[in-house]
Amino acid sequence: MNRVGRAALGAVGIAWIIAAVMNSSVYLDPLLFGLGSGAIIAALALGLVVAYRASGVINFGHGAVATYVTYVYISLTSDGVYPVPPLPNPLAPVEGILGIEILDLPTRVDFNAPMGKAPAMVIALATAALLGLVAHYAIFRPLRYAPVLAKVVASVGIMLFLQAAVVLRFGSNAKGAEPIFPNEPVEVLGARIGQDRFWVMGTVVVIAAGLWSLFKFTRFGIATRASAENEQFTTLLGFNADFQAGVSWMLASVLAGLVGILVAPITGVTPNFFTILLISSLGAALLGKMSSFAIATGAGIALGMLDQQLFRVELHWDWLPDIGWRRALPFVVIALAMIIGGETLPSRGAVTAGALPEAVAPRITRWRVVLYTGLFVVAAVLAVFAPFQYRGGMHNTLIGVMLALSLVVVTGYVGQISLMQMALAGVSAFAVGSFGTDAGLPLPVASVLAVLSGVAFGLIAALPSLRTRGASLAIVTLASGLAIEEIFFQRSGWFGLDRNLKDTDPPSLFGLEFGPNSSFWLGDGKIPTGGFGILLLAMTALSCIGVMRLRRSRLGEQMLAVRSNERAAAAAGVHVAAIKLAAFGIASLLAGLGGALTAYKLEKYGADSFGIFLSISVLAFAYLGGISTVGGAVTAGILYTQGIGIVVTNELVIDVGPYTAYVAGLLLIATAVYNNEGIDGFQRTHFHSLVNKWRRRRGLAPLDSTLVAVGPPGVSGENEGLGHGE
Amino acid sequence: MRKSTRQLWRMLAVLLALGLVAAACGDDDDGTATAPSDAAAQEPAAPADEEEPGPVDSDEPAAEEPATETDAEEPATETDAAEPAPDDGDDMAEEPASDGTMADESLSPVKIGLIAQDQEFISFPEARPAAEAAVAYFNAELGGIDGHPVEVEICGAGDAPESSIACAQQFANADDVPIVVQVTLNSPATNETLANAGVVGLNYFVDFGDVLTPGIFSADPGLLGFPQAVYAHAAANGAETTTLLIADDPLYETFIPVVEAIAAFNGITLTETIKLGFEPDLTGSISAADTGTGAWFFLLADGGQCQASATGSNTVGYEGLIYSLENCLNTDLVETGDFDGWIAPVVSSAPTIDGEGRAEANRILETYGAADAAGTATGGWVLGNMFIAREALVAAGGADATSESLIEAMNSFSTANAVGFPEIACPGPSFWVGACNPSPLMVGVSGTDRISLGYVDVDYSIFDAFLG
Repeated sequence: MNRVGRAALGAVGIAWIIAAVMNSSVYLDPLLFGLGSGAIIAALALGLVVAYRASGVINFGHGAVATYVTYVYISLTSDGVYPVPPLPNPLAPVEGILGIEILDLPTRVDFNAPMGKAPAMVIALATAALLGLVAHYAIFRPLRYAPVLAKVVASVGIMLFLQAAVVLRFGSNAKGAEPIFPNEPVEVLGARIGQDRFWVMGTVVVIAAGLWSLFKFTRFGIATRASAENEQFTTLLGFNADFQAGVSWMLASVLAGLVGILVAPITGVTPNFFTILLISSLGAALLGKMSSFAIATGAGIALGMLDQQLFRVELHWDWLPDIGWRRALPFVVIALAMIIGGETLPSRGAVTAGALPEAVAPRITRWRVVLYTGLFVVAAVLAVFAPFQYRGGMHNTLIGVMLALSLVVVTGYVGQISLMQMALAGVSAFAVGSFGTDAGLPLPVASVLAVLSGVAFGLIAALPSLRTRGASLAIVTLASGLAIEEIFFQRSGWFGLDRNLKDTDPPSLFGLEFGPNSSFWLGDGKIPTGGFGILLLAMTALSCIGVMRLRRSRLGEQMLAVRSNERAAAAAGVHVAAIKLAAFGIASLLAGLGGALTAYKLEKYGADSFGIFLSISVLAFAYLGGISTVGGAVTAGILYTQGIGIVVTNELVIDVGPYTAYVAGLLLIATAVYNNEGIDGFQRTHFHSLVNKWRRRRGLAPLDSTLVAVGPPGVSGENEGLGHGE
Repeated sequence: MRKSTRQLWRMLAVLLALGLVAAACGDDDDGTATAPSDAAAQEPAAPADEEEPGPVDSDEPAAEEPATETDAEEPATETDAAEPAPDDGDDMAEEPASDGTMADESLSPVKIGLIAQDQEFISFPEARPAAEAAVAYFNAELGGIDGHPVEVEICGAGDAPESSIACAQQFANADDVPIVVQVTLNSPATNETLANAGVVGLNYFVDFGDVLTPGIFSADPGLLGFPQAVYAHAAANGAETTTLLIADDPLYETFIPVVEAIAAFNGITLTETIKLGFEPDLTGSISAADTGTGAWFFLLADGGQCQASATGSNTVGYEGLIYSLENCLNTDLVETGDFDGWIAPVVSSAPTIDGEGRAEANRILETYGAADAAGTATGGWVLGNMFIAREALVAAGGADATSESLIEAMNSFSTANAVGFPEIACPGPSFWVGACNPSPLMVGVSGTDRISLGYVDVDYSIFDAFLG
């Protein structure tokens, strides 16, 4: 921070002290009240830092671990039931989905009476340790040389899987727990605060000090830090980096569980409670550069205090517009800090660097034209003429393709992890209602203005990408998405709600309505009607062609050069900043288009349709499909929420019903760990391998040599894919 | 060799991971399912339908074989009309009650739709088994509908509106599902689709559209009826001023002036509104509230805010009346003891609160494979609404019911047989045609026990002004 910044901060501090002396209830008490929340945020942040130090993973599943362990603890103390028996039944989900009993294995241990807090805590924390070990050895160890994106996706998979497990096992009701610490209120400087808040804060500070000491002074800690700096040298010195990472993962999980157990008596717990809190904790951990326990703890506590201060200020300064300052500002501050400071997270000094999936640019051959035409015809039939459930599924798929394409451009081609694509889609969705329905502009004008709004937001939100990348950018875009959601989507306004929802009239052109519920002359008359399918298909097909052309263009090559190595690209004359902004702009356009079409599909919608967790889900689906190719985006669309793949599976194979999130989580983890290229890459490799084997037997040349070469990163040729990581 | 060993370990680790958490998701197959409550065992169950034979007292073990007209060995079910799960209940629950009349499987089924938001994070997992238990009960003990078996066609939905809309479209396009119970918070996005197709919806009351859309009904007093019940109760207990502590959520923001007007109608002045965010410790926000007002009303979006609100209120030491919605009075929260003195209006007395129908509701859920839904508000809500759907179908012509006859029936419908609910009457008063439940039950917490404070009548005419 420069001198001016320090002076400004000092002036604000002095002003605050004077105000606190004059009016303590507004300017001092909130800081005390914020200690409780701050301590909880800090405690979760500590776990995130431990996990990052261990294996360079930003663990989005950390909150879910806390939740699961807390539910186990509550189950033991309230019912005396341990939900995971010594002989777990791995067939349980299969039995649950199929509705049959394969083998009668017990799935819980009943102690017949509520258990005491101490033994319950020991068992729950042992479960946490086991979860940490399993997460390391089954998921993150295989991913240790993988790109950041793969790790992010795997951690999202853990989040989905564990939260689904909690809902399936314990239900969705809120649960409370009996106090562990004394909770009688005490008066501190006139403010009445529960003692337990101080106990929690004290515990967090002690844990932070313990962790600092562990990593600073012990052989284990020093070796772990050394591994993070340079794993190869540390291994040569005789340390087992794998063991260190395993222990750290265990530690992180135990910390998560401990936080949950200690704070449940204050906060209660619901299946997604700690996951929501995790966003603030990520901010605190980021300020500590995912490595400093002291800063992460301090930042967490400060965020809690700042939140309470903003609450009182909003209440006291009634002239202040209600735009969601409390939830958005801490993240805006983080984003600004990243832009101004240009700080990045320390990357792990792994032995080898992982590669993002290959960004193949297929040659347009005669066979491919036939194939694409065939796909288009199939899509058209499904979107317009198929029975209504398949038609609806196809409509969802086409929107999903558009959203996934936006990630293909920004993440697949340029290597920038964006967790705000649904927020950008939401900007256009709310804008299309405002421009079209509220202002009465015709469809083409309203749509163009709405999409351009999304692009404008996207470009502004992309500014941090000029100074950050990788995990840092993932968090900053997450924060930006949240800020957009809080400031705009949750409030009434041009990019927000009408009342508590937004209304959008069906799209119409030349007197013809194309809405999903509008009557249309083609098809069976059932809803959603085929007219909407035609609109979607036209937009999606154009988007696919556009992205394919982009990949083969000079701009596309420059994007891949940036993805491969920013410094090398700059040295070769590529304007890295301009390329990144261009990518974000194009991606925002595609996301905006998807958002506008989503608005037309829903007709009534709120902030939930464009929430931050949906952004994470869209990234996960895009990765599952194959994040670097148009084919991958199409695959992602097929698997998208209520997409054609899901509908066909539900209708013709099996309806997984309440197990949807559970199965999705497992699939994500499996894809991240075992199939980095996504489904598209998998099929491409194996299909072409089979075809070429067949052709070789007949003495023919390989079908398309460029597509067979899926493997380690190579030097780019005209049609070759680039497989470089960040 | 080394590689294959690694792969073996990895596979074992994956299996362990799967087993560890996945096992927790399976059915309990160790016979530890919840036993019927004492109340269920001691109280004679209320007849579910005056014309039907009453169910047996659950004190009595079930008969060896159900006495039925068709002498079938199992409750008549088809496809989604769920059979009682083989091992979810205790031993006495394995056979249906003996005096019932079973549906004739050879007749065509009558379908009730269910949109169950149970696939993601904001989830109502009890909805599906409770609905399945309800139809199994109808078929086993009430003879289905005029002898025709009842089926429930379930459409699962996620958090976002897309999947609820897909479900609504499915039912709108189907020719054989005239009525749909909606257990989703996205009903504002689905109501018009159902209504346009002439499908009757039975909803939660989360938005004005849930009671103002023609063809959509709610047996839930909702965000109009609950505040009215709260402030009528508060006024009767001497409160003259109130503080509203409301979730910082746009869905709820709309209701601030509504709550203010309802309080005023009851002679109570709303002196302040405190918006509660999603910070884990709410003490700071609650400390800003005036402890001098006569009643605090917590209008919280998420049960997760309840515990923090209770601990915050206890820390502040507020001594006036504290009200909330029923999501704060579930068993797990009340048992912490932090909710002592809290009062909430509830939709259905079954199966969580002592009251008429509780024993019967629990018996049905436990007997017909939904033991896990017993003791949950959602379980009781779904069960009651399935009763309403069945009664409405009976009133509309039974197996011959059409959309038109059903809507006509709903427009002059009343029943006192929805287990756990007070008498339901449609249409609602004045403009509020879909508001069919005029009497929420007030429930108070004493220590860790819930006690019934009686039904409170809601006067909907006071809400007319909100429609401008």
